[in-house]
Amino acid sequence: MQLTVNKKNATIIDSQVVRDILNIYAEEELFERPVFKDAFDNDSIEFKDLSSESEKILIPWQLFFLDGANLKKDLDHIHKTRIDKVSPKLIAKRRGIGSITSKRIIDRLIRLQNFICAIPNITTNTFCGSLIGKSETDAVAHTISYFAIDLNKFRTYKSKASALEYIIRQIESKNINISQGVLANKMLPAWQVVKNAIYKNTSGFVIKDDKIPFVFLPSEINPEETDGRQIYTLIYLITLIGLNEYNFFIERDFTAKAITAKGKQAKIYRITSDLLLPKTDTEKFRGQDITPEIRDDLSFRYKITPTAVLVTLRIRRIITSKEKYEALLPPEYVPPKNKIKTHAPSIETSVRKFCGKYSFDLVNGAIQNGSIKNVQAQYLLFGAVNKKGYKKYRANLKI
Amino acid sequence: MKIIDINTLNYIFNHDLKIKEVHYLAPDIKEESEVTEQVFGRKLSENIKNISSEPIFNEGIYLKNYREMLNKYRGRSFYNMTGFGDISILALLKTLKECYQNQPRKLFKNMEEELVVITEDEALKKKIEKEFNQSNIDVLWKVKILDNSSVT
Repeated sequence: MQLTVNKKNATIIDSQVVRDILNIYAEEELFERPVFKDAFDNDSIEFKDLSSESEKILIPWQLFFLDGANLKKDLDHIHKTRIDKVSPKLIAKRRGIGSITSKRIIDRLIRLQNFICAIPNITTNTFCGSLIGKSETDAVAHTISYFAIDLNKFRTYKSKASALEYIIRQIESKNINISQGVLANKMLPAWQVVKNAIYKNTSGFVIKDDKIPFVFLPSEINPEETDGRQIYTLIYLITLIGLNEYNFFIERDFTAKAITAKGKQAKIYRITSDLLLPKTDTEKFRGQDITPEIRDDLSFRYKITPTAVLVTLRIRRIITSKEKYEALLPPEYVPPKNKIKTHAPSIETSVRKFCGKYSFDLVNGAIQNGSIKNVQAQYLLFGAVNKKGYKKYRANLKI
Repeated sequence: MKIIDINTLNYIFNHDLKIKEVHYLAPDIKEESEVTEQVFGRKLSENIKNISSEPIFNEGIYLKNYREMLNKYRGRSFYNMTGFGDISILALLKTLKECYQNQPRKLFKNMEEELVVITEDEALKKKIEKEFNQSNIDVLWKVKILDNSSVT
């Protein structure tokens, strides 16, 4: 493929090398980017297009200049460095969502988890597996008590966003790292770059670890994941940790492979629903005509989506007919377009949100005490070397 | 023509040197220098110039040479994103020599027929010596290496 400068041939770059690079995160379908499509169609690419595109996909343009043999060497080295200490990992996610999970996100979180777990004196998290053998009622009670969740406080928040923040704080205080999807400050390639379906299909998931399990919530990478849905997802994922139920195995190349489902999904949903919308609180509606107002009132009070309210009431046979259930379904949620943002979040806010409390605190501690090199810190925090961002990050945090 | 590497640039900043002569930065070093400016909270001296803004610089030839040097020399890492400054300097030296051979002489008016690289980086020195200081009789611009104390 010709590399041109002002439409004049400068050098030739290997088309197969370009293909192999774009395939590093295959599910992102970077081939479909117009710049690369045109490049393959015309067997030519302008350097300024390549370099500006590289900034967007967070892959250095220099990589495209390698010949086949050197690319292989470099990719092998990067791969080896990333997975050196990776033990087999198990993940679990909510059922019924897309089959794709962003390899780039899993890659990032496993690297952080390995870093944390290599730190001595982190004790085993006693919540892992603690719900096994418990009745559903006991499982709910144990979860509430373990994470010191004040349900009255949780329910009195005026917005679901604040309620979500509260529940995240409570869970994070007990050695669970909660990471959220962030696009600002180059934490991930923007949604305009990576096909929408990749992020939309990356619903919440959890990565197993006996010390610091990792929970991922899509947050801003999937505008359809409302705060209410994320609250439900979070409790669902915590229940998975408590039950030690993992339904995917992470391959060494960071792809997720389904393993035999153990058929416990219904129980996990029942525990989640009962924690958020207790059976005792819905019994009073038995025999009553459920109206859209009741649906919305329950959704507001219990901080779950109107659809989750209806599904729960249907499962509990409070809504008895399929027709009634379908008539009550709310209109499909349309995420607001052109959401006006007054200011971009600071880089440390984006890092804190994407990496989660433990990753953020422990990586910052390691930077301060000099136990990790700057490059390693950048890979952990940003997923790539981001010298400018890193300087700003350290300056803002004064570390 | 004097070209400086990133360590020399840091040396200039660290010692707050007032630069009287013009020194040039290779494109990748220019990029790095923006971080240096941020860290030190000071702007570069006007006498430290970006080579790619000069009329003698041909980006097409530079990129061809960059690709050649990138694949030829070790010591750069995509994992660490380090060593690209060296590649950029090697590509720049080769580009300037090619430009000198092929472009109108008026572009080189008032320029010394000597390329001086100021660096104390031993690995870079070895690469420059290997690439340019063999018995190449067609070398028009000699490449010379000096240490940081020669910054003026």
